[in-house]
Amino acid sequence: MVIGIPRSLFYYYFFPFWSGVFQALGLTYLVSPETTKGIMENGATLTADEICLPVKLHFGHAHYLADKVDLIFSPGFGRWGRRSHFCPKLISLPDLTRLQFQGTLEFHHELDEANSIVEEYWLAPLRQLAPGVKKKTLLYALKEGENKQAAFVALCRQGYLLPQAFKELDVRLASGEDPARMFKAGSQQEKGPRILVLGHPYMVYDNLAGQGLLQTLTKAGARVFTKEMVPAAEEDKLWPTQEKRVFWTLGQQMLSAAYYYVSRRQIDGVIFHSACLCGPDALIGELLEKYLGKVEDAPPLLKLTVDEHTGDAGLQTRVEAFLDLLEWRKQYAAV
Amino acid sequence: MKEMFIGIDVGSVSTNLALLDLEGQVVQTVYLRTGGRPISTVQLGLKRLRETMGSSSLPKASATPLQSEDDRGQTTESLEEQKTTEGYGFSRSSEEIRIAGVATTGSARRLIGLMVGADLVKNEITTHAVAALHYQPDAQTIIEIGGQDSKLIIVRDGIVVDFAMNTVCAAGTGSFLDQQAARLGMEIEEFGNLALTAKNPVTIAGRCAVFAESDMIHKQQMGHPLSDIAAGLCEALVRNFLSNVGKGKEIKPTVVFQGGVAANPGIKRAFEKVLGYSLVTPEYFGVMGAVGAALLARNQYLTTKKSSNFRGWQLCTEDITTVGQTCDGCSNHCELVVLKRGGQVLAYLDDRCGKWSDLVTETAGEAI
Repeated sequence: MVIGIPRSLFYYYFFPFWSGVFQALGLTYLVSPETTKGIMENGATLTADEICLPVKLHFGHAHYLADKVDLIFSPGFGRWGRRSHFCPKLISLPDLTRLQFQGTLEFHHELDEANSIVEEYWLAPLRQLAPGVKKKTLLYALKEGENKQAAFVALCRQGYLLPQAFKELDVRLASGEDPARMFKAGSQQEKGPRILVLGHPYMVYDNLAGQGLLQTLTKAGARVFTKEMVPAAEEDKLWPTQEKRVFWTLGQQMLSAAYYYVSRRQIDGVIFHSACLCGPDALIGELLEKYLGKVEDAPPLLKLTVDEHTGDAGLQTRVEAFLDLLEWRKQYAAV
Repeated sequence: MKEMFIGIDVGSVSTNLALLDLEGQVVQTVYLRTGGRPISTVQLGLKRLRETMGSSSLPKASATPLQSEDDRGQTTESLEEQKTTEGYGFSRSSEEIRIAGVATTGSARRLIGLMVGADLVKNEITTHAVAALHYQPDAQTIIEIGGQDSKLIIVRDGIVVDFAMNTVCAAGTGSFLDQQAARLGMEIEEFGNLALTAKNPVTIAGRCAVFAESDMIHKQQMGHPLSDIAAGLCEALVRNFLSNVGKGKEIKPTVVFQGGVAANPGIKRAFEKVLGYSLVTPEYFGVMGAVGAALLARNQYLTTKKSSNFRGWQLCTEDITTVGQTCDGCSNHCELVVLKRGGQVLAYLDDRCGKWSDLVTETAGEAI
């Protein structure tokens, strides 16, 4: 039996965990390829118009897998940690997927108040995948997955961008190194502007939806920081004057990351990369602006919004101009 | 020997060239409609520049022989015209002029940069800001409205601190005004002046070009005079700009208004009505992108003293074409653009992974 994992949504963060669990149970899985135009178009035709791009992409990837695998891995995301939620589209994702495709593996990828995986949600789907396997073995597999995830998270916090962290994780595991050990810092360029890219990982790192933002930045010699690099103790922290926690998990993480880097003066510019039609993002963008507006000598902010119709040219022009602006600012500060 | 700099701004609607001297003074500007043919338009533009210069800097050794008539492929405006004016200024040289730097900007900046051998390829937001600040050092806001896009650039203490560009919507740009003027059966030049004569501008929904149009038709049928409708449209576009592009950004005087639409007095007055003070329109408002590019080329030359990659005037007459090609390397099916001179490939553009564009960039100059 082959399980199909769509390369969408929280593949871009929890793949080490998922793959770790499946490997430990000796299950075979297939990951859909990097997003192509075809995948994006299929996703757009399979979904309602007003659905956001990430969900469209998810359907495109599921469609790619539909005739190649026995079960489509179809997680839903409700809440991670305390008072932290996802939008209705991600909560209802297993249901939405079931309406469109046959043979889906439904479950909820939730995190408890201590931010660890809620095992009880996993036991039912794992029993479906590996019938007859003892609970003890299943729990062991979950532990294996969690270890792999922990190693990946540690890599991210060392400054690796997500795709590099995935790659590095495989290299380390293949060489038999203890994944839980701390790794040395990722190699990023020494000079060049330091840019904090805030966005949903499944947008920023997607081949098409990201529109080459990270490549453009690294090509231009910029050092990229993301919310995944923020230390655990800080990743959920409210800024001192923030009146209340943001309802949305990723939204709060983005704001906390902005607070972490900006208050430490560790970055030169902030790029907010959001999906068109993303309800939470519309609020987060405003809050981010509000926060930066109160900081003295705050780093400049560039807001980018993408949907499936956006061409790369507009993004390139804006990012280039933004880098010019930062350079200009630096020269001015030096005078 | 006089050193000069060329800035080329190839936008979707217009192609502008500016020739600057070593002091940064504008010597000559050329404004052309791109008409969907950026390459031949730039060739024509360069030819016009050269005509007015009346001198030659044709590199004697590296001059490429002209293609035979049959090999020229597409007949374009510039090539047609070329037959009559070929060889015009080659001996008319009164004072030797050397092109010491070329920069391209606008949406076709990469393509044209490769074609002319640009020393600098710069985005249009930066070039517009550079030009505006050159003429108006105390500017705090720059409004640029062109054919297909509009920009708002916020400047404080002489440096750009924030900017915004319109997104996918073209309402509020030159093309839409053009279209509406045409629908009312008048020249775009008349349209702005007509708006100035309005007694009581009507309210028009400016949020979307489609709604604006149906609203205008409705107002016409209700019997409102054209002048009021024209003024109403101008005000709607300004409202749209301020809410869509401006989005609450703080607009402070001095405001520089440039881009093709700055020629429209109706729009200018509508802005002034909302903002409460007058806007500054620089002398070369229509070609500021090109002026900014040339200024940047000049700055680069002054700091590095590096000699230019400019491929020379012969490129006005060369057979430069582009061919579309679909890459079958992966399921992205990138639509490549192949830039060719005669039969020789100069560059590949628009591939996602870079496997094509990396192939020939070294031979095509250091522009990218």
